[in-house]
Amino acid sequence: MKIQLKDGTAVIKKEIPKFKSFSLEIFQKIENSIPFKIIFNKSVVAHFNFTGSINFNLDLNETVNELSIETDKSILEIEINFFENEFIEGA
Amino acid sequence: MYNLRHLGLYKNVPKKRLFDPTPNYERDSYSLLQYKSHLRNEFLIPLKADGNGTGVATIYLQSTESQTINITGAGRFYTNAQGTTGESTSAVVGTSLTPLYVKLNEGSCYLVLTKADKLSGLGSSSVNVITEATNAPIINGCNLGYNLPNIINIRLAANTKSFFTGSIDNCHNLTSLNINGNLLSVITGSIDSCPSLAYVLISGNKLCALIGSIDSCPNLIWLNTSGNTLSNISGDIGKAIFCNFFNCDGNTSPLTYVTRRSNWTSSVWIIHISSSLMTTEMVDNLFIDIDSSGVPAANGNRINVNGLCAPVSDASLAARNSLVTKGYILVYNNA
Repeated sequence: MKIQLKDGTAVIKKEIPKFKSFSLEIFQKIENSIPFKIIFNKSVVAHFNFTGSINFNLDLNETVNELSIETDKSILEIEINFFENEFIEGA
Repeated sequence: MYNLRHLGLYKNVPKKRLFDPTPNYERDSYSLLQYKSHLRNEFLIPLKADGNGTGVATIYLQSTESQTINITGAGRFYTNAQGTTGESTSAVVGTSLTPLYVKLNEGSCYLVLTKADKLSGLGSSSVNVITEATNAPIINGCNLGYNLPNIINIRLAANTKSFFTGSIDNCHNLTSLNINGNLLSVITGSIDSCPSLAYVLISGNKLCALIGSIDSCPNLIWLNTSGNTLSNISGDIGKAIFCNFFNCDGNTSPLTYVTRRSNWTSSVWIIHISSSLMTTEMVDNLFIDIDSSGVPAANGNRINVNGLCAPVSDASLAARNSLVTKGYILVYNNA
């Protein structure tokens, strides 16, 4: 799903079925790595530096009803997609 | 005075039989053969034919001193991987990892190691105990429930038809247990019985149920119970000073971080813990200590302490931000 950010943040209240991995992409050109926090259901934080597209294994074993994004203000739009299978590292 | 004979009841009294310890590989059950083998210091590896039986499996064993290995029934050893030369019913397992080329046309048979107490490797730390092949025999549930005092390596890290069962409780010198990705093996027992353990890898296997504390394994280097829900391994990851891979993804082993570890100097691959015993202070200290140790992010570079772990507090905020700038991927429960 594509997510528009305002001042580097967004809150999406939408049911996301159980997933085991997700991918994150930014379509604008970035010069440096960007710190990202993706917060699921206000409780679980995925915290990382974004340097390019990322595939992320995360099995919360629960349905997500709310998703929050916190990142640099310069980021205007991102795309996150959720997958039922784990991303195979090194593949 | 009447006895049973007079009362006519003797027919119901079972006759005493003398126990015959000689194994009958054709007739005795595997469990009876195991008992008999134990008395004779032998170790059995049951094999079962697969497909049309024309293929050759390679079985890798190692011993602390050379020992004879026999094969029963229709099983045969060969001296080449094609199964065309040196047909025999016995071979020698040497002190280096020894490949045995085995063919079994049909049915089942046993590999009989003649010195169970000298067996050191069912495979090695890097080689699986069996390389399966089309129409070749498989290891049909080899039970580890023997006294195997010198076994160091058990490796079957593949989704094979072959599998192991039984407890590691009698494998006191076990250093590496690697059945990553093997879906059929059912291994139980306590790592407390195996103080030399350095590698415990049961990732992807849902049937193994290991217990015990990593505090009993001071040489631990690698703990991977990812995807295995039945194992329950406790202990203090701060004491496992050589370990840089704790992957308990999907497993809720009650690990803690009590002893603060300042030497996270070897690269941290993965720390993935979901433990109800991990308090906020422990979670904070873990981030703070890894950050202050200066260890760079490498390889897996993930620290995942969500699930049952307590939430972070502001005490670790600076450390978390610092770790992220170093390239770590963090997953934690929000304050």
